[in-house]
Amino acid sequence: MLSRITSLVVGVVLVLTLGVITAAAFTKTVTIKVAGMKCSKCSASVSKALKATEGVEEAEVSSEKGEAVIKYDDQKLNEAKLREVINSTGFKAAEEKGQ
Amino acid sequence: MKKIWLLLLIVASCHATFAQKQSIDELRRVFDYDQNASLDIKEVGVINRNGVRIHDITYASPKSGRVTAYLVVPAEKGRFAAVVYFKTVVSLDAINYVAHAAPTPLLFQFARFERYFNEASMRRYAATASEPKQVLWYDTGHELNDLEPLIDRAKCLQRYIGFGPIAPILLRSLEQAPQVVLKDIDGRTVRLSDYKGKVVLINFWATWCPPCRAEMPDLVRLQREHANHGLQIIGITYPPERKDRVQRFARSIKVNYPIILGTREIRARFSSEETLPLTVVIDRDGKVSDIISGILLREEFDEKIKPLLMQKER
Repeated sequence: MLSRITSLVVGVVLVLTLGVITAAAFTKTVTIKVAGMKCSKCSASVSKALKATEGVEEAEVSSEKGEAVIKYDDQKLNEAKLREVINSTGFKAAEEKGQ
Repeated sequence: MKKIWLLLLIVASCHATFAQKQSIDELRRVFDYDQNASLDIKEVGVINRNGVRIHDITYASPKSGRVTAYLVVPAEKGRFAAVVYFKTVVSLDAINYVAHAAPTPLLFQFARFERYFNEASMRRYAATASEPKQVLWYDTGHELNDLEPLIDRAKCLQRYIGFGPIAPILLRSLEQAPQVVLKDIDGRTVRLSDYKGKVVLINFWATWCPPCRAEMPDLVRLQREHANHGLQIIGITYPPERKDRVQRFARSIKVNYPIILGTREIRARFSSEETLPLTVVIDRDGKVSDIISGILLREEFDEKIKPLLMQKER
C-alpha cells in the first residue's frame, strides 16, 4: 500500500515539476532589429501587427532604437514568424538577439 | 508515511514559489517605472480651435521612449481637464506610469481601466497631485476614437473634483464626416457627398511610409471584393509628396480607387492623429464610425467595416 502511494506521489511530483519547467520555458523574449524604421508616424503599425499575432504577449517597438522587443509563447510561434510579421508591415526585420 | 508528507510538502513549496515568481514578474512588468523620472513634456506646436487648445506634445515614457501625443484642453486658463491622444503608442504600456510619478501636477485617469474610474480613485489622485493641478486624461488603442465615453468621463471628473469637462466640439467634429471636394491625381473631382449611401474608407498614406505601401495591395483587393457591397476607398496622401511618385506607385500596384494629393489641413479635418497609415471609416449615413491607426488588419475589417457593409442603404 505504502509503495503504491509513494509511486503515486512520485508520479504527481514528476508531472507537476515538468509542468512548471515547461510553463516557464514557453515564454521567450527576443530583440529584433528593424531596418528602415525612421518614420515615427509609421512604426505604430509594427507594434500593432505584433500584438495582433497569437502568441505574442508583449511587444515594445522603438523607432528611435530601431528595434522591437517581443515577449512571446514559443509553443505558439517562433522567431521566424515574428520576423515575417514585421516584414509584412513594410519594414525589414534584420538581426535578432535572444535574451 | 513521513516520506509521503515530505514529498507533498516539496511539491506544494515548488508550486508556491513558482506562482509567487509569476506574480512578482507580472507586478514588475506593470509597475517597473522610475517614480522619480521626469515626464519631460515638450510642446511642439499648438492649435486653437473653437475654444479648444490642441497641444502637440512629446513626453518621456520610461517604457515607450519618447511618446508623441496630442493634449486637448479647453482654452481657458486655470485648472483643466484634458484628453491625451497618443500618436505613437497603441498599447497600454505607458498607462501606469504617472500615478507612480507622484507628486506631480499631472493627474491621469485611465479611461480603459474601469476599476480606476471612480470617485475614490479620483479623489486620491487629486490629493496626491501638487499644485497647480492639471488633469491629463488619456486612453490608448482604437477605442480612443470613441469620444462619447470620454466626454461622459470628463463630466464625471467635473462632478467628482470640480474640474471642467473637455469641450464637446470634439465630439461633433467626429460625428459627421467633413464634406470635402478634392481633385484626384488624374484631375477628376472627388466629392465625399457623392459617396453617401456607401461605406467610405479614407486612407491617409504616403509613398515614403513603408506600412502604407505594404497595406495598399490589401486595400486594392478589398475594393475589388467589396465594391458590390457598397465599399468605396479613397486614398489621400500625406505631405511631403510628389505627384509623379504617387502616380508611379499607384500604377505599379494597380490602384482601383481615387488617389488624392493631400495636405496637412485636409488630414486635420478628419483626424488629429498623425499615425500613418490612418483609415477613417465613414458609414452609409456619412458619419465617422471609426478611425483606424496603423495598417488595417483583417480582424479590424471584419469587426468594424463588414458590419457596416451588411447594413442596407437607407
